[in-house]
Amino acid sequence: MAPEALIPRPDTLQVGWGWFQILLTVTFVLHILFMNALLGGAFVSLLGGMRRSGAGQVAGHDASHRVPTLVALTVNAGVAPLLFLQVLYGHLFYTSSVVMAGWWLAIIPLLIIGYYAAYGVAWGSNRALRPVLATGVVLILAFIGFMFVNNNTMALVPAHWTGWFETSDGSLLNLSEPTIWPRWLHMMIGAVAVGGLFVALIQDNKARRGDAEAAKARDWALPFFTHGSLAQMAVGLWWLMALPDPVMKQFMGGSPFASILLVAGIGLGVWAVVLGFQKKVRLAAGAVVATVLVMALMREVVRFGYLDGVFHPRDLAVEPQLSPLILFLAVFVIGIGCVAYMLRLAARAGKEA
Amino acid sequence: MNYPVWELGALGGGFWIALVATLHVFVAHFAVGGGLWLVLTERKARNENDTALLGYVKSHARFFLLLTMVFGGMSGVGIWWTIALLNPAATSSLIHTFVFGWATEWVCFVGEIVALLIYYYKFDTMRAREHMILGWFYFVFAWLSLFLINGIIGFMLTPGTWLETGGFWQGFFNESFWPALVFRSAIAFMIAGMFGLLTGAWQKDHAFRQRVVRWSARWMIAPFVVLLASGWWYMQAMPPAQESMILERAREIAPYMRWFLWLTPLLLVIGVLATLKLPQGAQKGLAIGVIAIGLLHLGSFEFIREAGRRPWVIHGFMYSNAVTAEEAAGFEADREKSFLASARWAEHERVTEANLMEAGRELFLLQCTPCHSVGGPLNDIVPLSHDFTHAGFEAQLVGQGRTTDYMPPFFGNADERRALAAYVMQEFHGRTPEARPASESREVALEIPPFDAENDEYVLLAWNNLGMHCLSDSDPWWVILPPANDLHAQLIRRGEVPEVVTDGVQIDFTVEKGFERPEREVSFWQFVRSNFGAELEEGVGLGGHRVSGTMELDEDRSMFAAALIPVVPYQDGEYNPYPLYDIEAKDTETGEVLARTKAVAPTSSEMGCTKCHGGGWRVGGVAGFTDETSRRVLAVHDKHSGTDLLAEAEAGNPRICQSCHQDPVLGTEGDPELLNFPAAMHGWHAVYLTGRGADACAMCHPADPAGPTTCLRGGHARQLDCTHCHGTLEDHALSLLKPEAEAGKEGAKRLMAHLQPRTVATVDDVIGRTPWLQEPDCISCHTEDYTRPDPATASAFNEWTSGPEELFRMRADETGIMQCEACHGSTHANYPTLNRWFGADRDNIQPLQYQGNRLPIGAGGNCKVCHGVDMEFAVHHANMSPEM
Repeated sequence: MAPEALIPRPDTLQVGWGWFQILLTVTFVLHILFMNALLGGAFVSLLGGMRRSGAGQVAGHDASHRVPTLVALTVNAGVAPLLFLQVLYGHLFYTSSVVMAGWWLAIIPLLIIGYYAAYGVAWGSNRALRPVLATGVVLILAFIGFMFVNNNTMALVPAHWTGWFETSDGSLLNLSEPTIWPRWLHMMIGAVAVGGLFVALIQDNKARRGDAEAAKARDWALPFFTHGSLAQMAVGLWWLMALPDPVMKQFMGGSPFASILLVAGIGLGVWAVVLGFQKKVRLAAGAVVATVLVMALMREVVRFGYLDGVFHPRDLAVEPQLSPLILFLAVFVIGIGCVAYMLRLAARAGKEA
Repeated sequence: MNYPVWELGALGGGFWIALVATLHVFVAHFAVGGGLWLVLTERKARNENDTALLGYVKSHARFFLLLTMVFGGMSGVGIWWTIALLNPAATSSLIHTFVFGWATEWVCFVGEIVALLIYYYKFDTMRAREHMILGWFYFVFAWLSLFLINGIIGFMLTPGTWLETGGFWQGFFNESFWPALVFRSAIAFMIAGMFGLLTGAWQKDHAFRQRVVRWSARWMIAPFVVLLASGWWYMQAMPPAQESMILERAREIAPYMRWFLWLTPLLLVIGVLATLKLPQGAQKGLAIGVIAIGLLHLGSFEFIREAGRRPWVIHGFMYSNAVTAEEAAGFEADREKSFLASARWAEHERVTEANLMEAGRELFLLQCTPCHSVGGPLNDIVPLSHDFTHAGFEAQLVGQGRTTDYMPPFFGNADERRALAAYVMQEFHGRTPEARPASESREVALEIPPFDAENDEYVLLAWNNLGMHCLSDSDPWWVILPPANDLHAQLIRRGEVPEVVTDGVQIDFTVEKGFERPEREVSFWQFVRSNFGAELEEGVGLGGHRVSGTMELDEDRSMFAAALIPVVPYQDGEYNPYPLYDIEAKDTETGEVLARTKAVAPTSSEMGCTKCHGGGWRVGGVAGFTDETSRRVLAVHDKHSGTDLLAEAEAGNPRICQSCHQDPVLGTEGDPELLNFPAAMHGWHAVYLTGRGADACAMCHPADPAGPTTCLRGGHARQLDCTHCHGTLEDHALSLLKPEAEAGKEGAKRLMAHLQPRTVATVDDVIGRTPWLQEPDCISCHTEDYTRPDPATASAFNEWTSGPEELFRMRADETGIMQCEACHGSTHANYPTLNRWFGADRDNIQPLQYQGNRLPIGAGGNCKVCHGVDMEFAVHHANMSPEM
C-alpha cells in the first residue's frame, strides 16, 4: 500500500494558513522556553537538592519551588501551538498519534503523576523522598519529550505509519527515524542548558539584591548552561547530519533562508554561551530567546522539507470566516492586559508567601 | 474512513473517554463554581473580620489548586488527547470549526492559571481588595472557559443551522447553548458546595466546622431551583430527534436516566442534612458520600447527553464511527458500494473467501470499535452479539440504523456484511455458519384408497384449507399460532347430475398412527390458560376437537368441516409436517361406510426464528422452538418495545402475541394503537431482510425448497415461488403497513420509512390490504376465463381479493356448490403436487384414487369422476380441459 494513500483528507481553514503558521511558531517558542525552564530546572534542582548545603543546595531549593508553576505554564503554553499544529497538520498528526496511541495517551497520567511529584518536592516535608520524587519528575518529563519527538517525526513520514497494519494496538514508536535520538537529545540537553540559565537567572536576581549566597548559587548553575550549550551544539550537528539529504542540504546552501537561519542560530548560540561564561545572565537569556526563535523557524524548515511533495499547508482550502479570528484577537489583547494587570498586582505584593 | 482506528479490545467502546471525561468534567465544574466559592467566602471572612474563616479559605485554595490545576488541568488536556486518539476525524472537525473558539478558551486558561497562582501564592501578602480582585479574575476567566466549551459541546448535540451554513456562530450559539450554560453553572456552584463540605468536615473546631459546613451546604441548596428549571429548559430545547433518543430510543441509557432522576433530589436532601448539627464523623461520611454521588450525578448527566446525539458524534454531520452524513448518503444510494475500497486505512479493498476473516476484522475495527469494546466494560460486543446467528447478524447489519437508529447503519456491500458477520461470529463466539441436516426424501409407502369408477356410488373429497398450518410450540414463553388445523370435506353422490350429500351422513377423520397424542409432544395444554384464556382437557383443541373425530356440517358451503384440530407435526417424537388422515363418510343411521379417502393436515413448526435469533431447533435439528430461542425473541421484543414479556413469561404468564397485536384470523382485538400482527411481523423483519427474493420468506416460514417442510409443493411450485403471488417481503410488508399508516398508527409510518417497494414503483402504488382476508386473487393471473398465464410474467401481487369470500380457500365454483379446494387441492398444494420429503404423492391421493392421475379432479374433461358420463360443457368454470 502506498503510504501517501494513507494520508487523511484535511479539513478546511477559516483564514489563510499564514495566520496559523505565525501563531504556531510564536506560541511554540513560548512553550519551548517554559519547557526548557521546567525540565532543565527540575534536573538542576535534582542535582542541587542532593547536596545538604552550599550553592547547589540553594539553587536547587529555589528552583524546585518554581517547578510546579512551570508545569502549569509549560502545559498551558503548549496548548496553543498544539492547537495551531492540528489546524495545519492535524491530518498527519492525528494519524501518527493513533499509530503510537498507547504511548501517546500514557503522557497524561504520567504528567499528572509528575505534576503532583513536583509539588511533593516543593511542598513535601519528607526529605528522603524528595530525590526520589525529583528523579521521577525528570524521568517523566524526559519520557514525555521522547514521545513528542516520536510523534512529531512520525507525523512527517507516512511511510512509517504502515506498521499499523501489523500492530494496530497503538504500540508503535518511530525508532527507525534516523533523527529521533539526536533530535530528542537536542531537546533534552538544550533544556538542561536553558534550565541552568533559568536557575542562574533566579539567583542572579537575588544576587542583584545583595544576596552573596545567591551569587554563588548562580555561578554553580551557570556551567549547566555553558557546558550544556556546547554539548548541545555537538548534538545539533549530529541532528543536522542525520536529516534526510534534501532537507540537510537546504541548510548547506540549498536554501538561502534555511542557511541563514542555521548560521544565525549557531551565531546566537555561541554568543549566548560567551555571555554565559561572562556571567552576563540577563543578556545570555535574551540571546537564548533569540536562538530559540531561530531554532523554531529552522524546525519549520525541517517540517516543510520532510513533507516536500507530500503536503504543504498552503494547499489547504479556505472557507473564510473572519469574525472568529477577530474575537480571538480581541480576547487575546484583553487577556494580555488582564495578565499584565494581575502580575502588576502580584509584584506589588512583594515576595511569595 | 479517513483515519486509522486504535485497536483497544476490552478497553474500547469509549472507555477511555468515559473515564477521563467523567473525572475531568466533575473537577472542571468545581474549578468554575469553586472560584466563586473562594472569592465569596473570602469576602465573607474579610467583611466579618473572621481570621479563622480566612485561614480556612487559604487552605481550601491550596486544595483547590492541587485538584483543579493539577488534575483538572491535565485531565482537560487528557480529554483532548483522548478524543483525538479515539475519533480523530471528529476532533479535526471540532478543531477546524472552532479553532478561534479554542484559542479564545486558551486565553481564558492563561488568565485562570495566572490568577489562581497569584491568588494562592500571594494570599497573605496582597492587599485584601487586590487579592479579591484576583479571585474575581479567576472566577470570570473560569466561567468564560465554561461558556466557550459549553458552546462546542452543545454543538455536537445540537448543531442546528450550522449544518446548512457551516458558520462558527450558528454552531456555537446552538439550540442547547443557553439552557446548558445555566444548567452547568448551577451544577458548578453545587459542586463547589460539595467540596466545601469535604474540606469543612475536616475542620477541628466544632463550632467553626458547623459554620463552614452549613455555609457550603447552602451552596448545594441555593442553585437547586435553577438546576431544575434549566434542566427542564434544556429538554425543551432538544430537537425532536435528540429528545426522543434520550427519552425513548437509546434504551441502554435508561439506568443513567434513573440515576440522574434519583440522585438529583438526593443531592438536595444531603444539602439539607448537611445544614444540621451533626457529629464530625457523620459530616465526614456525608462529605465523602456527596462527592461520590455528585460524581455519579454529573457522570450520568454526561452519559445522557452523549446518548442524545446517538448515533452521531456531531449530530447530523458525522456518525460515531467517523463516517460523515455525506459519505453515508453515498452508501445508502448504492447498497453495493464497498466500504473497504472507500476507507483509507483498510488493507483489503475487496472481500474474498481467502481474506474473509481479515476483511471482517478490518470492518469491525473501522466501523464497530469506535463504540464497542471486546470483553470490556462498555458496549461489549461479545454479549451484544451473543444472541445472533451468522444469518441473524447479517440481517442485523442490513437493518441496523434504520428502525432502531441509535446505531449507525452498516456501511458496505453484501460481501462486507458477510465478512463482518463471519468475523464477529467466529472470532467472538466460535460459531461457523449454521448448517442444518440436509433434508432427505423418505420412501413412504402410500396406500391409495380403492375407487371403482364403474360401481362406486360416492366420491369423497377432503382437504386442508391452507395447505400449511404453522404452529409455534413456544407455549411456555409466547405463542403465535396454536395447534389448530382445519379439515374440510364434500361427499358427492355420483350421477349425471351429481348431488353433494349433506344429510344423513357423517364424516369422520382419523389421524395416522404416531400423531394420536399431541399432548405428549407440545406444552400447549400446560399454558393454554395463560396464552388463550381457555380451560382445555389435554388433547382437546381450541375448537373442541381431538386429533380424530367427526366433522360438522357447514350448510352454507355444502361441506363438512372440522376446525382447529390440535394435530402437531411430530410423529412419535419425529418431525413430520404432513400427518395423514383417513376420512370416512358414513350413513348416520346404519353406520355403513359410504366412501373413504385420505388427506393430509399439513402442520409445521419449522418457523425460522432460530435462524437469526439462535437457540437451535427443538426437534431433530429441523423444527420446533427451544426455550432459548423463545427467550431470545422475547428479550429482543422487550428491548425494542419497552415491554417486560420475558419477565412475565418467566413468572409463568406467557401471552399470545395477538393479544396485543390485533389479528383477523384469530379474531383478537389487541391494542388499537399497535400494528396488527402480520403488519408488525412483516414490517419489522422486512427492514432486516430487504433486498432478497423468496429466501426472505423462507427465513421465517417453512417454505425453503431445501428445507424439511417445503410448504409450497403444488403445481405453482414448478415455476413460481412465494414472491410471484405475495410480492417480495418489502412489497408484502408495505401492503400490510399501508392501511395501518392510513389509520394513523405511527409504528407503521416508522417502518415504512425504511422500505421501498420492488414490484411497483412507489409506495403510493402499493394497494393496502387486510391480512388474511385480502390475499392474492387467483383471478388476477388466471383471469375470468381461468386461462393459464405465462409463468415468466405472472404476478398476483397488488391484486387482492376484495374480501374473505373471494379467497381461494373460501371460494366455490360457478354452481356455488363445489368448493375450489375440493377439486384443486389446498392453497400451496394445488394439484398436481410434489411432496419432496414425505412421499411424492402424499398430497395427490385423491386425484390418484379417483382418476389415476395427479390432476385436479375433473381436469382434462374427466367429468366421469362425478358425473359418470362425459359432459358437453363445463358447468363449474370455463376452461376445465386445458392440458396440464
